Amino acid sequence: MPTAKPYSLRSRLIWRVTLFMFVALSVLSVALVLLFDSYIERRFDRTLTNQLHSLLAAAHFDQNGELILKGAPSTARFQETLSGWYWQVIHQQQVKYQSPSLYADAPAPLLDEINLPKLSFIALEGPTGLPLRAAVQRVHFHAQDQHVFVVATGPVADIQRDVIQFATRLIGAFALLGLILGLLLRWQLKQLLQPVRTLQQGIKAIRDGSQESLALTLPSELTDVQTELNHLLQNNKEILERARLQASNLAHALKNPISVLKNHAANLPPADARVILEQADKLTQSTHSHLARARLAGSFEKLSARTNVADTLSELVFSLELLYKPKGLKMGFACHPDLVFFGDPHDLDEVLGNLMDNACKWAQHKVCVSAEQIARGIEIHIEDDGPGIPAQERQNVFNPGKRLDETTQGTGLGLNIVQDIVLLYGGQVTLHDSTIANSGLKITLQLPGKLVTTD
Amino acid sequence: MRALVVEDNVQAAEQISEALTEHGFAVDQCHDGQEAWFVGDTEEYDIAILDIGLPGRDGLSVLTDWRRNGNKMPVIILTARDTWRERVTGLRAGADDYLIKPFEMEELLARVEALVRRSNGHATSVLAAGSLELDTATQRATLQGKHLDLSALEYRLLAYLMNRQGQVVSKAVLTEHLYQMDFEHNSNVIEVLVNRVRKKLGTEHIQTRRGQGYQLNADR
Repeated sequence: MPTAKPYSLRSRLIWRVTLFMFVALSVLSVALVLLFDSYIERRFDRTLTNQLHSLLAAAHFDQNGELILKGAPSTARFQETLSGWYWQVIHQQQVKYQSPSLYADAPAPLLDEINLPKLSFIALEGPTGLPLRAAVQRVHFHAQDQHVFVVATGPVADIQRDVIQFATRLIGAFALLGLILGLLLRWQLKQLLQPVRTLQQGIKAIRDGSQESLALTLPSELTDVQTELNHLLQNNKEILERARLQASNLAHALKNPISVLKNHAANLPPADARVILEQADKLTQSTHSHLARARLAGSFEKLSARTNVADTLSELVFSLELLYKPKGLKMGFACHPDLVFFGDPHDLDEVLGNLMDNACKWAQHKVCVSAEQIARGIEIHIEDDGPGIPAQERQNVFNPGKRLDETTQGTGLGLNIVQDIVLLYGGQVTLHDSTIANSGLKITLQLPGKLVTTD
Repeated sequence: MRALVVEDNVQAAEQISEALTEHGFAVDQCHDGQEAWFVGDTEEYDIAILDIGLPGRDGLSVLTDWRRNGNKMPVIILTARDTWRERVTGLRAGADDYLIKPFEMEELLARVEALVRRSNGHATSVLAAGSLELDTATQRATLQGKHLDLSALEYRLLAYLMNRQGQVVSKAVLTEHLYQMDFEHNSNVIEVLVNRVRKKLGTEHIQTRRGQGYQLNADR
């Protein structure tokens, strides 16, 4: 028997798919953000390069050897003061021209001239401490044999801002995607696992006793399970019936000879007769109790169990009225027609039959039985107007072989078996004073069951 | 009174038959279900003691068929089957009483007697016709308080007639109810028997209806 709590297919699947989706979407977002980052950087660099190129195109030396910037390009972003978008044209360590965004009386070079023949990108810190990315190039004017150093910068924060914005939106979109996928998964799982639930309900119906076997429409993977279950149920039922029949046959086989022996002993000398009668009685008692228990052991294993209490009571009242006809007892029962005992009909027959039989033996005029639903199961009361049992002797009643009344016929095993059955079902049997007469006994049974109202 | 004992255990059948015979019954035995069904439906019995587990045919189906045929003879089921489900089934099939083996012979006799009495519509074991009284429990007959010394057959005749006071009972019916099956029917034993009882009771109690039968009346 597995002791660990069984896992749920559904929740296991949901957890695994969720984890998988989370990992996949995370990796994807990181990749996309990196891709986007490099794209934004390239675009940023192109802006800087364009600015650099147009500055170079505008720069030339006049006849006096002065550096002139004719028609200096000036896009909006290079106008905004200290925006980080700057440019400078530097000649001989001096800033000859710069963007309007670099507001200063004595312009200082953003960086020292570096001997870079090619266009390069470097990181540097701006005048306000803003981290900048710069495109720099040192150009050689052959005619004048002069070097001009050109710088164009932009704020790194712009790149970061775009990337963060993109990443935020991406994560939002992926979260939404994940949620939608999750909901679809749940819905799909519900659809897919429906047959399993159908099977569960089928088994519950059998356990309740409202069905004998499974006849469900199931997918091919589960039809074998259904067939096998039905086979097991049928097999179980047959084994049980065979066991009952064998118990019954054994009872027949044993009790007939005992009966003959006992009756024969009556003709023997009293001393011999006593030994035989005593032994025969012992044999009867053990046969009776062992067979009753054998039957009981079989019945509790039965999967489906649901017994109508009123039907059982009406059959027993009919029988006991016949058996006690000479006594002229008044018997009555009050029970809702839909009250159900969760257990085997044979067991309920034995419990109620023995208790009611006992009540009839004791009763002077009447026996009343009532059954009702209580919070935990059902309760059945059996009352008579006989002499009753003193409170201090009540706990002895269920001892094996103890008779309620030594003068009334019976072995006294009946009540002991009643208690065995009731305890096996997790119920209770208690004795009280009768409420229908001044004297008398009331036996109260608590058993699993409930009121099942059917339309 | 005539009884049918259906019981496949021959010794048990013998014991029951013996006890019933001592108790004033003419007893037939059957050890087989099929035979029991036939005999129970064709012969007249005042009581049948029926076992359930029988060879040939199940006792319950025998009983069900008897009842379906309108056979109202009182039936006591005597069986080892002791679950309440089996008891209910037996009684529902039409049994009047149900006794479980092993049983006390006195218990069986008491129940047989109570059942016969009930089926004849009497409340107590004492039948009375004027000054003539008969106690079926003790099998004693008294006339004006004086004990009558009767043989088993004489007692059977008197008990049968007292159970049917005022009714005319034919010779054939008497033969059916007083003797076992193997009895030779066309002899005049009934007339001889009636005359013997009349001698003990006085002639006025049992009257002969020519061509019809006999009638027991209370003395005036």
